[in-house]
Amino acid sequence: MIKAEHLSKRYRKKVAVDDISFEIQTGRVTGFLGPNGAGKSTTMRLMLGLDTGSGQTMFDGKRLYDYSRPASMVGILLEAKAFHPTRTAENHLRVLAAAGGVPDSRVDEVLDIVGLTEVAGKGPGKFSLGMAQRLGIAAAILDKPKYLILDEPANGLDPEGIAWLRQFIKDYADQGNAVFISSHLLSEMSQMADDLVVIGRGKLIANTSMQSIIDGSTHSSVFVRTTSQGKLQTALKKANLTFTEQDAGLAVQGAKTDQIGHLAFDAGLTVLELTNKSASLEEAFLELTSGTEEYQARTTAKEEK
Amino acid sequence: MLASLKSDFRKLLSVRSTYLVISLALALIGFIAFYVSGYRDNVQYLDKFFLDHGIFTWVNTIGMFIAIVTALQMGHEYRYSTIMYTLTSSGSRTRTLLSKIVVSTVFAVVVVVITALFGAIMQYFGALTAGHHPEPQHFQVVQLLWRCLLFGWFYAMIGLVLAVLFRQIVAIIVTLFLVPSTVEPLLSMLLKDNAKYLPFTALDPVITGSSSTATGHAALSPAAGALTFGIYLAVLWLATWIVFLKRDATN
Repeated sequence: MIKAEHLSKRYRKKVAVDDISFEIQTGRVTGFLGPNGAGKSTTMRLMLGLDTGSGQTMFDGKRLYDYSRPASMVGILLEAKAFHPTRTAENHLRVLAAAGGVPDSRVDEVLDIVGLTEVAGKGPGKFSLGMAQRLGIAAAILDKPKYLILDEPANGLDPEGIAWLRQFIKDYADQGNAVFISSHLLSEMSQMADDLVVIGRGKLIANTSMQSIIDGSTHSSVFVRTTSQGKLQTALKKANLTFTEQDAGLAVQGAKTDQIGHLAFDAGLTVLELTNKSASLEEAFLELTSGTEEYQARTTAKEEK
Repeated sequence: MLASLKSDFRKLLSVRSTYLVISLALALIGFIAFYVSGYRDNVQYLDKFFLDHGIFTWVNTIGMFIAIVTALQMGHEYRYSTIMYTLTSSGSRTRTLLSKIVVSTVFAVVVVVITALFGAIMQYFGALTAGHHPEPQHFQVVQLLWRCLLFGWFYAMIGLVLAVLFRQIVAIIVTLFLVPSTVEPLLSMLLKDNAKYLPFTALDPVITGSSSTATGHAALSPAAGALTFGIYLAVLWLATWIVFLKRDATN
C-alpha cells in the first residue's frame, strides 16, 4: 500500500498542495483526478521526493529512499518526453537499467512489450507523442516495480494504444501491484480505475472507490414510472426522498431501486418502469470539482460570434 | 553506487555531444600542434623540452572542452528531465552527485592523457615533416602529471558545479567563457596585485607556469595557484551539494 500523509507544497505565496493525505491499495488501479493546476503533478513529484515540501509517502511502510533499489518499488512516468533526444531508445533504457541494477536483456523485453522494438536504435527526439509515451511506459516497467505512478500516460496515444494501455494497466494491478494514474480522459478513467483520488486547488476532495463517487453524484438517480404519478410523489415525500419529474416518470435522487419498488408496492401502485440511472464519471467529477478550477474558460463559441 | 556509476558512464558515452565536443577539440589541437607548433613556427624552440612545453599548451586548450562535456552531462539531465529517473533510481542525492564527480574525474583523466599524447605526437610529426630533427626529449614527468591532471580535473569539476547550480546549458556555457575571459580581467584592473587570487587567474599558472598575470602583476606559483583554485572549488562544491539536496528536481 502507498500511504501519502500530509503532503504540502508552497511556491512563495501560492499553496500548490495543501495537506493532502490518501492511500493507494495494491491490486487496484487508482485514478488521480483534478482540474488543470489542481496540483496533481506536484503531488506525484512530492510522493517521489523529487520536489521538496512537507509530509511523507510510505511505500509498504517505508520511505521510498529507504529501499536499496527504489526503482524496483516504483516505476514512474511523469513526463512523456523525458529522454535525451539523440540517445537511442535502447540506450536510454540501458542507462536506466544500469541505474536500477536491471539486466540489459530486460530492455529488449520491455521494448517488445510497448511495441518499440523496430525503432529501438533510433533517437527518440523525433518520436511522436504516442511513441514517447510508450517509451516512458517501458522505462516505468523496466524493473518490474510493485507500484506504477503515471502522469497522463494516455496523452497522444492512438485508440489502439489507449486500449492497450487500459488493458496493460488493469493486468498489471491484477498481478498484485498498484497503479496510480492521472488522466483527463475521464471515459478512459471510468473503464480503468477502481478507486479515485480527486483534488482541486491543492486540496483533497475525495479518496474513495469509483463506484462511491458515481453513486454519490446528484446525477445518479432511480427512474420510476407508475400508474399514478401523484400517489408516488406523496409516498416519496413521506420517505423524505427528493425527486424531479422526468419523461412521464420521476427521477429519485439518493435511493436504490429496491427501496423505490417497496415504496410503490406499499402505496398500491403498479410499477411500469424502474431503472438505475448512474451518473457518468464526467458528471460526478464536474460536480465534485465545481468551483475549484484554477483556469476556467469564460466564453462559449456562440458568444464569441 | 556501482549501479549509479555504470549508468552515468553509459549516459556520458551514449550521447553525440561527448564525441563531438572532444573530437572538435582534438581536431583543433591536432592542427595547431602539427602545423603551427610543429611545422611552421617553433624551429627556434626545438630544444629538449619542445614536447614537454607543448603538452602543457594542449592540455590548457582542452580544459574548457572538458568543462563543456561535464556541464552537458548534468545540464542534459535537467533539460530533458531525466533527472527524475536518476534520482528515483539512486535513492540518495549525495550518491547521485558523487557518481557524477567520479565519472567526470575519470573522463577528465582519460581526455587529458589522450590530448597530451595526441598533441605531442602531432607536434613531433609536424616538426619531422618540416625537416627538423628535435633533439632527444626530456619530460618533467612529475610536473606534467600533477599539473595537467589537476588542471583537467578542475575544469571537469567547474563544469559540473555550474551545471548543478544553473541547470540551464546556455547560462553554464556563458559563465564558463565569460568569467575567465571578461569578468576576471576586468576585476584584475581593480584588484591589481591581488588579482592573482581570482579563481581562473590563480588556475592559469598551474598549466602555463607563467610567473605573471595578464595584467603584468606577479602570479602565484603552480602549487599555490592549484591550492587557491581548490579552495574556491571546495566552497563551491559545499554550496552546490546543499543546494542539490534542497532544491526541486526541475529545470
